[in-house]
Amino acid sequence: MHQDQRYIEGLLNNDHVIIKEIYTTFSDKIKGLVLKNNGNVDDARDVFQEALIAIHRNAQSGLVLQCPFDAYFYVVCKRKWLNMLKKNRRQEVTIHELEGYEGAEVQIEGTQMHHLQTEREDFFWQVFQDLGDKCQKLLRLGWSGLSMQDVAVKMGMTYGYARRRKTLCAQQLIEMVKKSPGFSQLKEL
Amino acid sequence: MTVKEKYAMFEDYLNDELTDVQRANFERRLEQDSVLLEELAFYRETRDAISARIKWEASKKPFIQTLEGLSKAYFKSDQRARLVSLPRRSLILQVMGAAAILLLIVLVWQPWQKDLYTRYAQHPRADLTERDASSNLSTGERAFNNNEYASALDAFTQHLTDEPGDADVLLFQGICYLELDKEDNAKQNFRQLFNSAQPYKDTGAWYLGLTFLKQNTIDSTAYYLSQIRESSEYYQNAQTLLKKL
Repeated sequence: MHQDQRYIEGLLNNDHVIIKEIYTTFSDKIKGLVLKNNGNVDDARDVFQEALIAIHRNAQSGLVLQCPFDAYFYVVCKRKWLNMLKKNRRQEVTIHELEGYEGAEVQIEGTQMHHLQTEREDFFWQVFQDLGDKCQKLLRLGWSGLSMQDVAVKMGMTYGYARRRKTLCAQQLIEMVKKSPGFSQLKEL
Repeated sequence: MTVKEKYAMFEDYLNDELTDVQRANFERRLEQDSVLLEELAFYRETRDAISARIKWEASKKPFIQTLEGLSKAYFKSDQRARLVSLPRRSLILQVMGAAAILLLIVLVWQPWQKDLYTRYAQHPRADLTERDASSNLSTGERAFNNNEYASALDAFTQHLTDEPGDADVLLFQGICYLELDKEDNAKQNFRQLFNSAQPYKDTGAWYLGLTFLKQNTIDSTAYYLSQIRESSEYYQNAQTLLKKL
């Protein structure tokens, strides 16, 4: 574990002092990266914020930093901005690296596996959101650790019906995941 | 075992709800059937991913509020056009220079984008309460539907003090900010929606797109519009608007 794990803990605990330190230390660098690559300050703000949100989520699922936070954060921001450019399809999608960060991708290799894991999770979540409202609600409750008895009460269903319906919703979700266009790429992650 | 029975078995197995005999039988079957084993692993991964995400969704709100506050302080946009004084030159050069500046001003100002914003900023009616109800919410609702955005904003702000998580009111408060030219405040509301679950995520993306359009920040407009799902009510308008940008 790298000593910069303190940043990850700070994000996880919503520690204002640590988060402010991250803004003070890195906001100008990320602004520089985005402005250098056809973006503006608003884009930089979105990239910075979305990168921190992604790391917060990784932190909750046990991210252990094996490299300096500086390199890790830079790469996460760079990939976010690259994805935004690709989605817009309005810009050339080659990123011009900031000076001093040319080797950042190599530095973060040990931590990268975790990043791929959350990309898989993102994919499942996207598909989940396309389920019908009732199924979403049932699975949210059913997979949150509540007993099926409690789930049935909250859903206004009988215990037996809630169980059957939950199984059908789970089945539907798995089928949607497998039919989704992103499924073949998922196998490569 | 039918497909339905298979998924019911997966659920019971992962929830530890099988009897000892049932568990032993199922595990024996898994040892003999590698396809079933693979399916169970995939089911478990999907389920674990969704559970982790649900847990995170519940805890992220205060964290995002921290970020919103700091982002405002550390990322201040400067969209004012820079005016450069011209040195004395010949008349023809001055005229050409003036024409270039005029062109630059028009390009920066982009009045046609304003029209585009007005055309697409068709806000929904606020239907938040029962008829004749008396509360901050109903006051806000009436004012909003009469386009009295300042009064509506006061009432919605009062309501959100009591119920800070009310996503519908966050949307209408955001629209009030937008119509009162307080785009930074509007973005905060719409970002909260964008970072929420569906259908609010699409609504947040649409209104962030409109806010950036109003500010002539075309790349960000395009980015948020492209985030809207095909099944969303905003999708068609978003696609049409994307083509016009």
